Amino acid sequence: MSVRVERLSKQFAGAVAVSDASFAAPSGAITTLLGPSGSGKTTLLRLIAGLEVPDEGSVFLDGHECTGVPVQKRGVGFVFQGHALFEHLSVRENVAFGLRVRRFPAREIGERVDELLELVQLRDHGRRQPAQLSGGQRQRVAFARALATRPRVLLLDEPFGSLDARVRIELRAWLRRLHDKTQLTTVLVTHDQEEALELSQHVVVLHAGRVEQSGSPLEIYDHPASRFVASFVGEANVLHGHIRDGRASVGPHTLSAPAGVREGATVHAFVRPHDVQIAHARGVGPPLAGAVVEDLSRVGGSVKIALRLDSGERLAIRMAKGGFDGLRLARGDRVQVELKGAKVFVEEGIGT
Amino acid sequence: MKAADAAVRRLTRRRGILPGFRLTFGFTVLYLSLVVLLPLGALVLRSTQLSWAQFAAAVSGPRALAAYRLSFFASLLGALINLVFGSVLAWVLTRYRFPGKALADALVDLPFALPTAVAGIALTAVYAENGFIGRYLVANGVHVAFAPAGVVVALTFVGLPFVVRTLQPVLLDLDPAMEEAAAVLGAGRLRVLARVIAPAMLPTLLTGFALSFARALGEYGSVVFISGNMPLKTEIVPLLIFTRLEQYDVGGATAIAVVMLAGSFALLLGIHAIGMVGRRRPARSQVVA
Repeated sequence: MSVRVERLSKQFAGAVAVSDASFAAPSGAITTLLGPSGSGKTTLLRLIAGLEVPDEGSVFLDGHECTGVPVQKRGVGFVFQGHALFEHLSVRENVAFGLRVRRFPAREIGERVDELLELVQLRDHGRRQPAQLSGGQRQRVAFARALATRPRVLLLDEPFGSLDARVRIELRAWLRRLHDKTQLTTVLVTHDQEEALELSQHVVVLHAGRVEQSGSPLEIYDHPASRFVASFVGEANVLHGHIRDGRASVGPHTLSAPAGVREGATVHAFVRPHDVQIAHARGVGPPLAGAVVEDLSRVGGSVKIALRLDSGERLAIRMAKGGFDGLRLARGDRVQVELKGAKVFVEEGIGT
Repeated sequence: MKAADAAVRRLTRRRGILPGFRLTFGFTVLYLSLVVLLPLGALVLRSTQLSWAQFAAAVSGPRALAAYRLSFFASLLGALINLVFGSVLAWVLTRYRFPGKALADALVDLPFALPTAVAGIALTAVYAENGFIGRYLVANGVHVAFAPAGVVVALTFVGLPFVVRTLQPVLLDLDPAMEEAAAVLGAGRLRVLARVIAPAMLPTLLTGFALSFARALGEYGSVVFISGNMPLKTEIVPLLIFTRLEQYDVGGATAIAVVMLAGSFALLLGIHAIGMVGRRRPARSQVVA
């Protein structure tokens, strides 16, 4: 069961929410729609579910066009950010809702509800009211309710967005296990890039209603297709420079640049915090790429180091505690910096 | 005194976080006593000047019984009509955007603001034999003015805003995702309304109904003109009380008033109790992770 959307567009009172978006979510995988707030990711998900009608474009479920099919008949499961449970019904009745609508025989409903409560590990909570559950439990009930009718696709709209950080991480692992069991084609909306990279086999990065890049998490992280993707997915430092002799000259560093760029064009080099190597500045004369340690902070097993380059730009780096201890760095030390990897983007238009 | 002091302290001890409980609670008791309980108490006291036989005779005459019946059923009917159509109105005013919405919203409040006697005269003018609507109704044998139906019309008019204004904020607060969730699960519009929205609104519907009902029971001004005040036929309890007062039968008036008071109080208490049962959810502290 795959999901494909083609050239979808949607405006709300003149404001563009989704613009000419196309992507395909592979069958049986978790696909993430990743983007900042206002990027149109939730609208895109609602268009797939049939909760919104597109201005243009088509939605295909399993190869069949279903753009005009009403939400009740799409056969999708949907989990909302704020669980949206029926507060006046017990947990069991919430899960049974979709089955009752479809007029399943009572016995079958009972069995299916038991099965689902088992699946979401809430077997003993069936008689509770939603108000008696914790946030994480409520969200699990919402999953069970969405899965009860055996949907062909599971659509998740920031399902962990309203939960606190610890529960969020727990539920992330839980969702991973759940998906291993069900193998259901899943589309997940999130603004949390960590969630996207950890949970999904396929990531679609959205920006201002458009699809910026679509690919595996590794592709997105290692080979960002645009400046936006490079800065939004994963932490990155941005250093500025110019094209000189066909290569990017960023401060004292010279990096390879895409072929055929104009001499003097402005470049933005994106450097991951762990792609920087530093060493104490030694010997006489100014080091090739010098910097001063401005701040150090330990975060669990890794150390964040804030550097001020001689060019005036700042660079945040991160290294494992072991490597850091060997360096014996202190605030104010001069260090030498080497960039192990950088992604260079050349600005279109006039350079200086 | 000491025992009372201890009781107050026991009540207040748990309220450590929000300051001022004693002061505000004391004020609440005083205020309710002065404004509500004192006049009502005086009323009851006054009625005790009658002997039991006098009291029974005053409250159970055929005229009084007819008035109770009319007051109760007309108020009930008015409140029920308001419950249905007030819900529709509140729904339209919260869910949709349309030209003239602000005007419609303001119109709902008019029965609040209008002196009820004016409303009564206006309604009478419309429904009387030569009135705007009345002439067609009477021609077809339907009598509204100077008939029990007129009482219902007047009581519906004064009770309407109570239902609408009670429902509106709660409808606005209803999570639209709940309805969408039901739709994704395959529920059509009617089922969403019956199975998701109505149950969530039930306590509020009850409150709106109770307010409208209570208002109707006590209403006087608008009914006087349209009902015609025929004893045994179109005389409501407040009017009967007034008639007794006019005849300097203060004892009889207070006796009927006491019955009316007890009845209204019992009804309101009953409706509240139903609402409490519907709303009761175990406390958060009972949550087991």
